[in-house]
Amino acid sequence: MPRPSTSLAALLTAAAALLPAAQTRAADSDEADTHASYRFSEYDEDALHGVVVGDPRRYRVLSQQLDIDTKLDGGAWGLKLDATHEVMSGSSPWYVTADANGRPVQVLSGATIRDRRNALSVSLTQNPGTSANTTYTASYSKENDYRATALGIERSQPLSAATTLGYGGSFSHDVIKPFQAQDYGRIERATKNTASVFSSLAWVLDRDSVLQAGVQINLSHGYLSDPYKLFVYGKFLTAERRPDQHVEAAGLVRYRRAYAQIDAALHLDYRYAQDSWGLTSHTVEASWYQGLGHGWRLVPGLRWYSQSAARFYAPFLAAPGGQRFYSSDYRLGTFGAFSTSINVRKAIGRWEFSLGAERYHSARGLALGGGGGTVPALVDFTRAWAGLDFGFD
Amino acid sequence: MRPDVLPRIALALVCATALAACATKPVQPWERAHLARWDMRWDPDSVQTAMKQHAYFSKEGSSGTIGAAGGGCGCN
Amino acid sequence: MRMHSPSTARPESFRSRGTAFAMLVALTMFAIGTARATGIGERAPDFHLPQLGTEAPLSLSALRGKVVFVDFWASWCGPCREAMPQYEKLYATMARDTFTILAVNLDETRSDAEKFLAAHPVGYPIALDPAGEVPKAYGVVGMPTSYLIDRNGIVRWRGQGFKPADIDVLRHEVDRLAREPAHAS
Repeated sequence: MPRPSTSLAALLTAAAALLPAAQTRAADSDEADTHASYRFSEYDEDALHGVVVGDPRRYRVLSQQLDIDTKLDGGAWGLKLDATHEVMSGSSPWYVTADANGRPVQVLSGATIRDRRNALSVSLTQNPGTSANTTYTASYSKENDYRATALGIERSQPLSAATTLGYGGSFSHDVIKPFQAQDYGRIERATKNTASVFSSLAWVLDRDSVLQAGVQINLSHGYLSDPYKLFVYGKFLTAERRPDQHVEAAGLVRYRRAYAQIDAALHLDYRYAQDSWGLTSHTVEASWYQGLGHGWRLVPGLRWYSQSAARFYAPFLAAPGGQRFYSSDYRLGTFGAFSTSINVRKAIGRWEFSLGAERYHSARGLALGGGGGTVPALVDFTRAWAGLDFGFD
Repeated sequence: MRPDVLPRIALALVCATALAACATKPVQPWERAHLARWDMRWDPDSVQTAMKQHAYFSKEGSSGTIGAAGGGCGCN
Repeated sequence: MRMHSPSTARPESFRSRGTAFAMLVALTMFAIGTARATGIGERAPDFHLPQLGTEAPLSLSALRGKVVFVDFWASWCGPCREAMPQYEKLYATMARDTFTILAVNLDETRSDAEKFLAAHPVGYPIALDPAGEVPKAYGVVGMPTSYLIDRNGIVRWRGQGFKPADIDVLRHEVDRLAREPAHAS
């Protein structure tokens, strides 16, 4: 993972502005001027099973996130700072070759990758205490081989007492400088630009439920290949090659229903995405927020994801047929994934503590319709995190 | 199923839900005690969500949610 | 091993671009009309409501001659909770003979309001309107909403949402309105 990216993920938080009502916080800290959240998380990939060449131990990431949310100018502006520090290590899929029987064999990078990522995101929200507000976000993320700079703007606006419109756009400029570029014949420096526009509408359906529907279009241009991945193309072992343009369109529907009598809420999300590389995906997520009294809360969650392969995905090409684009990156193959998670939270006055874990399993058979050809190196991972939130004046 | 059929289904769904929303009796601002609950936010724990989405983004061909574009990474 | 060379290929076709645009248009079309709200310069609708903690009912018309700040709030509303202690500070520093605050509580369950007020006590009167009749008459479209009503019962300021800086604006407005003459009606 976790080479994070996503500077733009910071914009996610602005979606919280699409509130159907003046919402409260989990801890009893509405009167506090400043709120802080700290998260420590560990991400661990399982060792690869099956036919593998190289060190089968895969990625491990330790992350720390600190988020501070405060008010400026007498509450006319909200300021949010998010800092992330991560340490990554492990080996990763390099290329796929065929064994004597023509079955795919995953080859992993020999050397252990060690990298760090530091990221900072700053958001300013105008009129944060009202339902009509605008958020401006700037973020920067740096690794030894990767830099991303992003700017975004998002506006939330009630259209009526029961309807809220949200829309915005963002732009990201990323620079890639692969390690050991000369030794391995990798591209020495490359850039890509991504622009996104999105729009959503949220409806208050009744006293207990809200629905949101949104669309998003992402356009990327530049070096979109993975500089570390190689491809077996007939007798050659060559750098993988993807188109230098990518268009993705996605639709999202989110539903929230409160069961106040039993102190619970249901969350249901569905997302559909389709891109110009021929990849389509479905994501379904469900979680249940159950209050247990005395500030305790339990949140179990389920997620299913399915994607169809990009047109130019193949584990390898034994007899090349003049393809312009080719990649054996398992992330472009047909597969499905299922994950389960659990989160326990406890609020004490202005403090809230949380602990959580997630188990993610991916397989060809979990894809919609049962999956296509072999996709080696599909990942299984476990994530665990601990967090602390508090409000102060 | 042809790939371009699915967005049309999604479009029909969106239109249907929009119409359904118009048909219901409006909920007054002072009747939103349940909707104001912390667990009724679109994203109750945005810090945790950012990390979670990051894991998916790095391991899947397409992911993210409305509002977050994939400002890519060379993620392994 | 071969170096990557930049692709000169044209972007691939993208069939669903039109569909995505249609979805966007469809989404934005379903906006519903806005509610009718009591505006600035209009007469504030009168009301009579039971009061928390005493038997005596409260009515707006009985306060004619004073500048009145009417705040619609509920204990489940985050910004309302944030605002209450600030309004209390304002109330504590203003002259009682020319100004008062009247908070209209909209909790459906009275004990929810009482629980909040026990933790954050205020000195100004709290009127109870669990049925929401008064905010309906005022056309309140969001929580919290507040009105500043002059000595003659006319709405002179309206605020939706809350930010601490509103208190200074209010203090200034109240001072100004308190100096205006009250007409005998």
